[in-house]
Amino acid sequence: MIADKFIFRVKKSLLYSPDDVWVEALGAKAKIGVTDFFQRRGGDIIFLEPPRQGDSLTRGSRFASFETIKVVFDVISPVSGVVTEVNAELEPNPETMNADPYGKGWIAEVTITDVGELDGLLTPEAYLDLMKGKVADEMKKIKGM
Amino acid sequence: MGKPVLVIPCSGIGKAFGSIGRDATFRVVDELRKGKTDTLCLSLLVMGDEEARAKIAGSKCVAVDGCPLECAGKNIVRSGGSIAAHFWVMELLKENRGLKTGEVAFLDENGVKLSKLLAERIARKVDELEEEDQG
Amino acid sequence: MNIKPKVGVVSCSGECCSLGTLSRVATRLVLEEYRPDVTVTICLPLFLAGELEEHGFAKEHPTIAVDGCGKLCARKAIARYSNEPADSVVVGDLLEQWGIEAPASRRELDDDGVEAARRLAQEISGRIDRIRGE
Repeated sequence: MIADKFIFRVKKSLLYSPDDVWVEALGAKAKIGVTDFFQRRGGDIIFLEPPRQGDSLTRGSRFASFETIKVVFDVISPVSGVVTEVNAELEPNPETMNADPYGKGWIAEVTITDVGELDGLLTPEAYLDLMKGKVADEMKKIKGM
Repeated sequence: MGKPVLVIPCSGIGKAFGSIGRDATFRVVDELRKGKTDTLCLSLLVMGDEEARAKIAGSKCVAVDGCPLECAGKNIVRSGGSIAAHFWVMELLKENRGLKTGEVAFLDENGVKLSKLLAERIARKVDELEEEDQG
Repeated sequence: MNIKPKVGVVSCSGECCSLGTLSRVATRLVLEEYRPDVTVTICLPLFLAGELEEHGFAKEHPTIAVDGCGKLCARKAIARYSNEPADSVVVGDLLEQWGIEAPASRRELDDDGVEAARRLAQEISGRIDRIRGE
C-alpha cells in the first residue's frame, strides 16, 4: 500500500501476526522476521538484541528488540518453540532488517512446539487490511516526514 | 601541492545523519584541513554541472553518507568520480551508543559531538591520502 | 469531496554556500513547525539516486522547489525526473528582495541567519497554502 510517499509491502507467501512479525512455515519449523511496516515505522535500526540459539519462545512474548535513533522496539514472538538458528549477519549489520525485511533481514529459525498455532496467524490479505489501519494511525502522528 | 581532496556529504534532509555528515564536512573543509580539502554540491554534480564535473575529475573523493542508502557514494560514482574513502554516520553512531540524536534542522549536543568525532576521522583520512600522494 | 493533496518540499543540498544551508533549514522548519500535516519531505540526494518512493510521490503530488542560488538544482531535478514543480523559491533572490545579507557561515546559522530561515519558512508556507487552494 502507498501512503504519502511511503510504500509498504506485504509478501504473499508468508503468514503474519498482529504484532507485525512474519512467519515462513517450514513444516515443524518456521523462519521469522519483522514486516516492512514494522521496520519502516521504527526507522533506521542501529542496534539489535537478537534471541540466542536454544532460547524458548512463547507466543505473545518478547523475543528480541531493536533500537533506532530514538526508540527501542520489542519484537513479539508469533509462535511458541525453540530457537534453532539465529541470523548471524544481523547483529553487526542490523540495518539489513530495513533494507530487506522479508529476505536477508530474517531474525531466527524456530522449531514450533504446536504447529496448530500457525492457523491463528493472519493471511497476507488479512495482514494488509490490518496494516492499512495501522498506517493510517501512524500518519496522523507523524509530523514533517 | 596536488588537487584538494573533495569531501562530499549526502546532506540527506530526512534524517539527522544527513545533517551530521554535512556539519562534519564543513568542519573539515572550513577549519580542520582548510586549503587541503574542498567540497561541492552533490546535486550540482549529478545534474551535470560542468564546473562540478571538472572539479571531480582527477580528484580524490571522500564520500560522507548518513545511512546505508549511500546517496553520496552512488551519485559520485555515477558522475564519474572515484571514491578514495567512505564514511557512514550510522556506523559512527553504532560505536557511540550514548550519542543518539534525532534533530535534523539544528544539531543538538549529541549531534555536535558526533559531527566533531566524524570530522576528526575524516581529517585523519585526508592526511593519509596526502601521505600516499607524497610517498 | 474536496481532497487536498500534501505538498512535497524539495530543498537543494547546497553545500557550496550559506544559501544552501538557509534553504535546508527553512525547509525543515516548514516540515516540522509551520506546515507539518500537509507537507512531505523529498530528499534530493535520494531523489537523484533514483529512489522509487521519492520519484513516485513527486509524480503524483504537487511539489515546491527551494533552491539556494540561481543554479536551481532542486527545481531542475524535479522537472527532469518527475513533473515541473508547482512553485519554486530561490533563497538568494528573496534575501536580496528583503535587503537581508546571506549568513557568513555555511555550517551554522547565527541568530540573524535563524531569523532569515524563519522568514523564508513563512514565505514557503504561504506558497504551500496557495498550491493547496487555501
